Amino acid sequence: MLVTMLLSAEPQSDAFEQAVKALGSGDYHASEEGFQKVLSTSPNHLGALQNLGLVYARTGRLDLAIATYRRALALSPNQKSLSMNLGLAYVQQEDYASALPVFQSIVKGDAKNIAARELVATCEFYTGRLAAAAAHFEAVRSEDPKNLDLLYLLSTAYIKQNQAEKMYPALGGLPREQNHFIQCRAFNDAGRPDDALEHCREAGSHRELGKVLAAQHDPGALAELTASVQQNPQDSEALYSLGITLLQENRVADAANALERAKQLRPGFWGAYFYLGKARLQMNQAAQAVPLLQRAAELNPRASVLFYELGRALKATGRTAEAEQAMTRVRELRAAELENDVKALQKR
Amino acid sequence: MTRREWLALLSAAPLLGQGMSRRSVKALPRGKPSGLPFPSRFTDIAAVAGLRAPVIYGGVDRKDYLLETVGCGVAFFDFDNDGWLDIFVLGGSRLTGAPEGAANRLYRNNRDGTFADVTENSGLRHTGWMSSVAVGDFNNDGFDDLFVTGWGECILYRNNGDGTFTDVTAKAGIRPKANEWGSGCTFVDYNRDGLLDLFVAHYTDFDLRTVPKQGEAATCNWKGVAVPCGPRGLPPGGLKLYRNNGDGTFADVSVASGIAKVRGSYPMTTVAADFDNDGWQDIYVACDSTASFLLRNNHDGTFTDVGLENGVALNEDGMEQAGMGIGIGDYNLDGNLDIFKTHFSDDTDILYRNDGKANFDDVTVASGLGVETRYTSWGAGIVDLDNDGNPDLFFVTGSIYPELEAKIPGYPFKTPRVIFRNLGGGKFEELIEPSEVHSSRGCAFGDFDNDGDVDVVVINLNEPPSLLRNDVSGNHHWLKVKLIGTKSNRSAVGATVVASYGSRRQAQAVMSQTSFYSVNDFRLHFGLGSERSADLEIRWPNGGSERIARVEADRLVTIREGSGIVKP
Repeated sequence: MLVTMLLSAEPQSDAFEQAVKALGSGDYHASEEGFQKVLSTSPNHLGALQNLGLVYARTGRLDLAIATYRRALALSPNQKSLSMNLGLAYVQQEDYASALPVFQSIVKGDAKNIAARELVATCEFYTGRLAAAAAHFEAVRSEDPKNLDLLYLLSTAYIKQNQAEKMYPALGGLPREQNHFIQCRAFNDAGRPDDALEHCREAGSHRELGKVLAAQHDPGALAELTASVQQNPQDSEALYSLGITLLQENRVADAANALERAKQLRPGFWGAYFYLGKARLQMNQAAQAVPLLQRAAELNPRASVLFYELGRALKATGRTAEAEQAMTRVRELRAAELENDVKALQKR
Repeated sequence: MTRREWLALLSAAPLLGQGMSRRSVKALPRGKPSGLPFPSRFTDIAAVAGLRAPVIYGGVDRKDYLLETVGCGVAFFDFDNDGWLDIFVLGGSRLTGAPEGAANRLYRNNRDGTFADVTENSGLRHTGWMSSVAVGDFNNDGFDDLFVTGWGECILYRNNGDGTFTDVTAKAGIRPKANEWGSGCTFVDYNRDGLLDLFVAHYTDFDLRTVPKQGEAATCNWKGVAVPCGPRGLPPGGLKLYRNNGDGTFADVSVASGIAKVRGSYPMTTVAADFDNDGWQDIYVACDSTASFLLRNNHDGTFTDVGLENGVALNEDGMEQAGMGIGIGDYNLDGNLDIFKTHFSDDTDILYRNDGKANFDDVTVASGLGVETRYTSWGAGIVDLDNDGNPDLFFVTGSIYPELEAKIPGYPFKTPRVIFRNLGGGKFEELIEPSEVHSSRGCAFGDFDNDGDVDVVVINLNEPPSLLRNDVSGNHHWLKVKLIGTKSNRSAVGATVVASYGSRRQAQAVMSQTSFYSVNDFRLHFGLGSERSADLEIRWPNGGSERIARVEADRLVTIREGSGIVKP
C-alpha cells in the first residue's frame, strides 16, 4: 500500500534524476548510490533523503529508512507523505508504539485522512488499547465498510474484550463466506480457537482451517494446508503455515522446502527466515542458521524471540561475544515490552 | 522445533499480557500407556494426623486481587532434632480482615503418624499475607532456623533449641519496604565462609490503593473473563542478598554482589545449588510471566545472570513462561542437577537437562511432558516416589481464578496432583488420581514417618493441608543421607551428594527452599531399585568433598563433614 515514491521540487542534478530513474526501474543498488552521491554534496537535499528512505524501506533496512525519514522530516516537518512513510516503516517493524504518535499527528492535521485514522486504530489494537481501537475502527467503518482488514481487527478487538456480540453489526453486510472468514481469523487470533473452527469450515478456507487445526495439534492440519497450497501455490501465507506445521511434525527437510518458497514469494517477511533458521538449527546446521536468523532480526528488530534464537545459533557456532550481544538485545526488548505493559495498566 | 505455541508468531500480533501467562499451548497427543506397575500409593491422612486448620488465603469464591491468589509454602523440618520431621505451614488472610485461626502453624511430629499443633507456645504465631519459607541454621548452633516472606514483611526466626523461636529480624538488620510483596527466599553460603547468607526476592510492589481491582481494567481478563490484574502490568519485583556477619546481623550486599541490577521480572521460588559443579553456590529464580534468572556465582562475592545465555530463562522457542515452582534433581542419572519448573495452565511445565556446566537444554517435549497443559502447577519435586532408582516428577496444581469455572467449565478451580513416573531413558509417563482435587500451592517432600519412602505435605487454599503418606510396596531398596557441616554451615545447605548404585549415578542437593515457596526434608532420599548399597560422593558447600564406598541400603546414615559416617 503504502510506500509511495516521492519526487522533489528542488532543482535537480543529473545524478539525482538518474537515481530517481534507477529507483523507478527497481535498481535499488544504483539508486542508493545515486542518492548518497547527491547527499555527499548536498546533505540537506530533501528529495534525496526522501527517496533514499524509500530505497532502504524497499530493501528491508528499516532502521536506516526510519533514520533517513527522520532526517528529512527535520527539514520538512509538515510533509504528510513523509510522516506516513515513517509510520509505515515502524509498522513494518511491528513497532506500533512508535508508529502510533506519527499517525496521530497526521490525523491531527488532517482529520479526514481515512488511511491515517485506520492506522491509528491499528496501532492502538497492537499496543493493547483495545477499547480505543474499537472506537476508532467503528468511526471509520461507515466510510470504508468493506475493508476486510479493518473488520478483522475490529472483530478481534471486540472478542478480546469479551464483547463478541458487538462485531456482528459490522460483519452483517458481508457475504456469508467473508463473514465466516473474518470470524474464523478473529476468534483464532483472540485465543479462542475452539470458537474459530466452525467459522473456518463455513468459510471454506483450507488455509485458515489448517492454521487453527495446526495450533491445536490436530492431525488434519497438514491435509488442509497442503490443499491450500495446491489450490494456490503462490499463497505465501499457506506455504509459511505449512512449513511451520511440517517443522512441528519433525519433517524438517519438507518444512525447509515450503519455507524457502514462502521466503521467495515474500522476501520482506521475517517469519520465513526465522523458521528456516530454526529448521537449520534442528538439523544441527547452526552456521547456516545464523545468516537466516540475522536477516529475520534485521526485518523485525523488535521481536526478542528472533534475537534469542540468533543468540543460541551464534553460541552453537562458538561466536560467544556475538551471542552475548544478541542476548543483551533480548533483555532490552523484553524490558521495553514489560515497561509498556506497566504503562498500559497505569493508564487504565 | 517443539509443538508449542506458534500462533502468535504466525499472526505476528503482540498480545498485552495479563494474568500469569501469555501463552496458549495445546497438549501433545498421549502415547500408549506403558502398563508397568507403579508400586507407590498415596493416602491423605491429614485429618487423622491432626492437620485440620484450613490455610486461609483470600476470598473463597471470588478473588479481586492477585494478592489473594498466589498462596504460600510449607516446610518439612526437624525443629527439635528428634529425628522426626515436623511441619511448618504458612498462612494468609482476607481483604476483609483475618478470620479467627488464620495464622502460620507449627506441627510437632508425635512419632506415631500424628502431629500436635504447638504454634501457640512456639513463638511462630503470626498472621499476614505470607508467601514463602526457607530453613537453615544461620547461627550454626545445631538447630535449624526459619526465614519467612510475605506482603510487606519478612521475618527471621531464630530457633532457641527449646521448642521456641524468637523474631530476630530487626536485630539482623533486614528491613523490607511496606509494599514489597516478598516471594522466594533461600539461605545460601555464597562466599563459602561457613555462614548461611540470605537471598530474598520480591514479586512486585503491590499497593491496594493503586492496583485495579478485578473488572476495573479491561485488559485484566483471561479468555475474555475479568480476572485480577497482574503480574504483567504491575511493577516488576527485585532481588536482595544479605551477607551473614556471624554475629546475628546481616549486611545488605545486593549492590556490591551485582544482585540488585538483576531486574525486570516477577521472581517467585528461589533455589540455591551448585549447578555448574564448580564448588560454589549458584541461584536459580523462577519468574512469573517473564524471563527466569540463573545467577552464576563468580567466586568473588558477585553474581551474573546467565539465564538467557545458558538456556534456563525461557523455553526452547524463546517464549517466557509463568515460572512458579521448581524441582531440582537428576532425572537422567548423569550426576548433574536438572531443573523442573511449573507454570500456568495452557502451557507445559518445563524440564531442563543440565550438561554439568550449567548449560541447559529444554527437553520437555522429548521427555514426554508435553502431554499435559490443563493445570496451573505450583509445588514440584524431582523425587523417587517408588524407590526404583529413577527420580519421578510430582507436582500439585490449582487454578487462581475461582470465578472462572462457572463461565468456562474447562477451567475448574480445584484440580488434581500429577505424577510423571520416570520410565528411564529420559522418558516420563503421566499418572493422575483425578478424584482428589484441591487448589494447591506449596508442597514439601520428606519421610515424615521414617518408613523409607518420600511423603508429601501440600498447601490447599482455604482448606486444611493434605498429608500424603506414601506406601511403597515391593522390594526396592533406598538410602537416606543426613549431612552435618563443620567447616561448612551446620545444616549443610548447598551440599550436593552423588550416589552411585549399579550403573546409575544420581545427584541431589540440600536446599533451603525449593518446590513452590517450600522446604523439603534435608535428609536426601535415594531410591536404589534392586541395588543393596551405594557409593557416595559428598560435595560440601565450602568446596571440600568426601567419598564413602559401599554404604548399605535401607537405612539413614548421618555424615559429619570431615568425619564420615557418624551414625550408621
